[in-house]
Amino acid sequence: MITLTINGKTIHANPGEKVLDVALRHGIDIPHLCHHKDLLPSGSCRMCLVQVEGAAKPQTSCGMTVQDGMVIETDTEDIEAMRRDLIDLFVSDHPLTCVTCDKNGSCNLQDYAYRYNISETSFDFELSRPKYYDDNPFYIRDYQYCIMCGKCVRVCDEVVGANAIDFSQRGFETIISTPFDVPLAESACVFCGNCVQICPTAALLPRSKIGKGREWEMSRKQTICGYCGVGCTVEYALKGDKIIYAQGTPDGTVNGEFLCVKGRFGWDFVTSPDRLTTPLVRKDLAYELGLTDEPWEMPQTPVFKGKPKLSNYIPVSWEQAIDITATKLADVVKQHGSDAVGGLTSARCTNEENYLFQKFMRAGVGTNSVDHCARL
Amino acid sequence: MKAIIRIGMSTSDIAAGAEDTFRAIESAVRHRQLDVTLKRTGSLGASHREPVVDIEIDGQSTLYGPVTPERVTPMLDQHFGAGERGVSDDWVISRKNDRSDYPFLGKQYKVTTKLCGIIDPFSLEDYLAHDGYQALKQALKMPPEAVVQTVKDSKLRGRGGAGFPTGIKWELLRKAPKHPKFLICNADEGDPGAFMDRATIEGDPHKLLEGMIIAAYATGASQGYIYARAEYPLAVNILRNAIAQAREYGVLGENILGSGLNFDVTIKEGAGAFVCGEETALMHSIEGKRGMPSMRPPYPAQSGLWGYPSNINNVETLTSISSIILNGADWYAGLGTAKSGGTKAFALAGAIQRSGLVEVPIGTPLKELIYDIGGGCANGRELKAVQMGGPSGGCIPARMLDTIIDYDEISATGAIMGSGGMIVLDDTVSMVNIAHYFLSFTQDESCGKCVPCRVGTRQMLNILQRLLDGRGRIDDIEKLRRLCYTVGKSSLCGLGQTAPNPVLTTLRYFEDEYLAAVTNDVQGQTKLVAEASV
Amino acid sequence: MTNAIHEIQDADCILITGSNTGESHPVLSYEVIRAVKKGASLIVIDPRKIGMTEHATLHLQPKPGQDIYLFMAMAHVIIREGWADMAFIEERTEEFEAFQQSVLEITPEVAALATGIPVAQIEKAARLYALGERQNGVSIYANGDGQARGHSSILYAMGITQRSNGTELVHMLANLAMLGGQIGKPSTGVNPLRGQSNVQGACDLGGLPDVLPGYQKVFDEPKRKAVAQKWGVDDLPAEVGLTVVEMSKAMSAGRIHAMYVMGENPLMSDPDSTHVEKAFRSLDFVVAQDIFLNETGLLAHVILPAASSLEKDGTFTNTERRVQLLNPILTPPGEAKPDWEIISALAEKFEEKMGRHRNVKWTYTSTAEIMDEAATVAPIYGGISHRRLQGDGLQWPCPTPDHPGTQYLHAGKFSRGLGKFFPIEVNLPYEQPDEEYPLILTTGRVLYHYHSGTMTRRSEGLDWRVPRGYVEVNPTDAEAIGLLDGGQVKIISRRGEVRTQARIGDRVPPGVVFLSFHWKEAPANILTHDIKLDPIAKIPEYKATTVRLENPKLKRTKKAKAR
Repeated sequence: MITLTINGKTIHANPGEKVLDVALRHGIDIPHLCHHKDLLPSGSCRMCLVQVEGAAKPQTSCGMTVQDGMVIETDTEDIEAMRRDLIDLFVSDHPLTCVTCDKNGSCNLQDYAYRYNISETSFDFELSRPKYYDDNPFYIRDYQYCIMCGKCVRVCDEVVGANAIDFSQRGFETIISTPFDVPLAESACVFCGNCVQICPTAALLPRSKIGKGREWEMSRKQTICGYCGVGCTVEYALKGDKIIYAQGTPDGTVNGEFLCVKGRFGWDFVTSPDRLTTPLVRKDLAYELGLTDEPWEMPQTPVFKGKPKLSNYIPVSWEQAIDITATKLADVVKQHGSDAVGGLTSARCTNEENYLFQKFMRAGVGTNSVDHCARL
Repeated sequence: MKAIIRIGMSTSDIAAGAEDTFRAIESAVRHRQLDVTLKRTGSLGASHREPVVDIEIDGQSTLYGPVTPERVTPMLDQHFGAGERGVSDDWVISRKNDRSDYPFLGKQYKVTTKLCGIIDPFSLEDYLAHDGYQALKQALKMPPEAVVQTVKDSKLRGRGGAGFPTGIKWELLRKAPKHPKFLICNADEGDPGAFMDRATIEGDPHKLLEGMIIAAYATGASQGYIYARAEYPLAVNILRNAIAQAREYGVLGENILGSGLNFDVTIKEGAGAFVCGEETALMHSIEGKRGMPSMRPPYPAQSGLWGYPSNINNVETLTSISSIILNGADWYAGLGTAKSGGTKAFALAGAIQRSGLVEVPIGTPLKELIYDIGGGCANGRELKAVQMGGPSGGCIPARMLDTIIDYDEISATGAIMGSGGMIVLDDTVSMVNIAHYFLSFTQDESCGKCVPCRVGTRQMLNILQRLLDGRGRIDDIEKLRRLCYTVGKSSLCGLGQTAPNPVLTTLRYFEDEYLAAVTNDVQGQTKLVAEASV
Repeated sequence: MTNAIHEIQDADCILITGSNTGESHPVLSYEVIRAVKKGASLIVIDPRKIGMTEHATLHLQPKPGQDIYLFMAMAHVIIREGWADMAFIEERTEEFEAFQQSVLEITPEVAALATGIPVAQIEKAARLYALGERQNGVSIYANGDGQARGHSSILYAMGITQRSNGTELVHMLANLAMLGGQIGKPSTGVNPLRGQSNVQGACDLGGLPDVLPGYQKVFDEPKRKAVAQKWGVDDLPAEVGLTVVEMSKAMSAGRIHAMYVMGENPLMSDPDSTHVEKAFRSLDFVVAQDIFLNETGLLAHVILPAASSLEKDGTFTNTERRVQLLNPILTPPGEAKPDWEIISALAEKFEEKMGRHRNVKWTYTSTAEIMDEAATVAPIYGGISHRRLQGDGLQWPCPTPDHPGTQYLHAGKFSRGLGKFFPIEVNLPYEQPDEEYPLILTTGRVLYHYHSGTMTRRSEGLDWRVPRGYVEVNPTDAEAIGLLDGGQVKIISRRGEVRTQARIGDRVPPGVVFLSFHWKEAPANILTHDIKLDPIAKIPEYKATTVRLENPKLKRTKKAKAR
């Protein structure tokens, strides 16, 4: 255990921890723009500079390991003035178009501009990289808002391992780019959108969010992703009853803030017009049951040659559908025995549903022929 | 009669036409069937007289320059029989072996560049004939700790510019618990106008290798890298040749000279980014990543190349090593000042009469270097200031030329010792322009990682440009000072932290030029500012 | 998984085999990437060059189906070199000698011949894994003297199990883990990566023909009777039921007359689709309960519209045995209902139609109530209730309401007592390449799609990224039939043929082609077979079907020439 003093407060920390992490945990709000708890410190935003007793220059707290007996001041007049200058410099190269910006309300730069009372730059406003990319359906890249914190580059390297993007060019024109500036689809990008998630500004935005509402108008709900077996926590931002975008959340048990392309961007199938909305009975059965006067026969074309057609069915009420199904299953059981019915339960349904399904097959129908695609 | 003709064939000689001169001499020698040894050497450093040719007959040397192909025939006639015809005294640089008749050479004290221009850089035999690899043999007989101690005692400080004591750096690497350890030579000479490292490698490559091998022995490093500029093709070529020779000779590879030491060296060519001279950026570049600095700590000795303990020294530091071992720490320390031993090489350029590569003991007053060796300002102009340390350095005004060459003394002026760039400015030069020139270099070369360097220097540059254009605003100088402070204090790496130096020193010594550049619609206010500042 | 997902990033060595982790379990692959960035070594054993191989310390590419030799030779080397954790073996396991005997003959040289992997690489893999050797950096499990064995984790998926000797391969991986003492500790273990959101839970809660909830065998009378009693019935069927593949055979044989299919698409996902379709067409009655009308639904008589996972509550159990709560984000469209409500209504009505008057509970007010009942039936879920799952959920086994859950299995003691070494016998894939069908087809997933594509192919972005199917072909095999990148190609097996686009590259080695099973236009399972299933797990051999490629263009020109 290490003991250090921050702003006159005695604080305990574990060996190897970084000063910034320790301070944040103890409610000492050292400003930061490029720090992320799951990424290696880069020290690029310079906002987390602190004064360490005995050091000539201010030190970068995100990269500084705690040491016993350290005495740290996080908000001296000198350092606060420097931070103000830094934000002043950031906004000299970042349009303060907050009114129309989709990041308004969740932008870290905006928060600090507010904190340091900077409504416009005192330097010359000059955009270094007014480049806009709309080359995929998942997210846009609007580099005029980029503050070069490099979090996107780090997450792509350190967490995802895709290394699709890196810093490119030099000097004022430095920009984040794919190799040779190729479109993302031609790069190593896997469209996981983790860069979008951790971007502090509007430089990276989910496409589904653009123009769809302000952050404070949205409600947020969490659930578990329905795709693979990892079980990531996904947070959905909704406006009314519409999903605007999905993202990870720092308290996600398995995944933290990180998701994959399916979890983050693959939710739109739920609102597909193809969704089944009413119970259906196939026309041949419907005719047999007298639900329609039109005789119909199931075509013999192999299913892979045709297309699933709703016109083969007629809609019925839930009562009718349940009655027909129960009758048919009961008939088979009565005629051929319990083992003449098979049941396929689902790896995409809940535990409760699987439990109930197999209970129905075993205790209701009376067969153990219940399985699902666990092997497939 | 034993005759040797040495022709300087360094990059700067070649730029001055040395290839034509060489061909002319070669064909004349063949034509005349002269019994002469022709030698391609590195540069003696006298750039202002290149191409340089040294004709040595029975130990007596005559140094010529610049030697154009037309001058070859009369020169050879002079020495090889056909009588004196048409050789002008102007062609001769020196007729004395100790060069005491030519102060540019005679007043220098050469350690690292001693054999440059003397030996053939492609010839291992030449190096061996001049005590080559003797220091290594001697070091291998000492315990590694003793080698480290010798370097510490020599008061050698890092010649890359920051001046960190080399022996302490070595000790840190030696004591690092992890293996393997890497030794990196920073040959990414990036300051505008600086060419000390290039000249040293092109003149005496084995001296660098010998220094590296001794360093490896002392520190426990098993692999060396020389990070060289790709823009130095000749130097790289010479190094490659030298490495191959060293391997064959048994001073690189496994079990060096039977000592059990394993060490090899690989060349990595940098892609011309100034920031790659910064230690952490350089290591990232070797790793194949973009050359961007990262935070320190961890320092390279803790976690360097690929996370392993590493040590980075520049070319001049490493080429000093063999002489220290051979002549002793006391000798080396005695050359310099109380805190800093040895000599320092400079690339003397700008409005100077005699430009070129010079090496002098630490502690030499600037005045001596500029007037006695360099001959003072060219074209009879008045000296205004000396810019030292490249884009990270600053300007020392003429009135302070008594300052001695020493890390601390130079730093006190606001400039830095730097890696050896020294540009003499005469009274025609605008100091705002000079600041603008160096800052625009830094701004172009910023890696873009941190905002003070990427945007701060840009804003400083905007202000300087306004001043130069006569569009200065009333608060520009104040803003400039504020930016200097913030950029200098908050930047991530040395490049950004020192970027304001050219502005700061010119503001300090030549503020009037800045004030004069501020014009404003409200003339009175300008005046007020001017008065207030004086 | 024996171990938890978050432990992976602290592993010293990770062995991935038969898992295209980066595409099938992307977020779990992030843990692997982070471990590697911290200095862990990564061994990837896969015939294909998958994304993870770019990060691998060692990529071993065995000839398809021959990897059993590789694992056996690794064990051979570990024993021979004294890298085995003998203390662990003596204290925690049994039947080591029999296993040792079985790998005695399988030297690295033998394995090299069979797999095409150099001896030195086999030996290196054995050392890295058994000793948990890092690439660099310091293990968090190091005790300071630097001598401690690092922690090694095995990750595997369907590349191991979808084989006619899948069970044996899994036994072999478990043998390796016990050999190195790489189990029962954090960041170790034998970790199957489960492919679907709740495949773990479906198995846990009895969605299998041989077990009741909590893996209680149907033929274990006392346990079965206990469950029956809780459900209010006299007894339950004692005979093991049919697996999904066996069911389609039983349909064709006239033994099954009706199917209840909930959220599945066997026509796309089962082997030999042509046969599956015939089987389904032969039925008297099929009811399909789903969110979309899929290929199987086309053959159903009644379709019941279900709510998607975003529209309901309940729980999923992930691959690390963590039971987590779902929250409804949206309301179901139209009249669609959560599956549990549908099953409930159907079961109630079925009882009525059967004319039964039993006291069996079919009606519930909430999913929480169902879980409470399940907890009384499945001992491993004994302590699980929705109330306790708020926050981070619970990892089973969680037998009692005050049990904290189990982060990793087999700590201190194996579930069965002593860890059992299984002697291994070499079995190779049923279909072996021959002149007529010279190539081996292996199936799997791509990053942007999921299973039979019903969901992902209706997602705008995912569909944009990979809009149609393709088969991966090595340049050597492509050249042989004059196939160009992007050209149409026919893949033909003994069961049937599909036509799709070729993607030529070295992701697959010569002799192997890869086709994912997401594409109804090129259904991979038209080609696969159900002739030889794994004898224990009854899993079809999706990873080794022999096929041949035909270039439709070339054939025409050849014919033209012949004329």
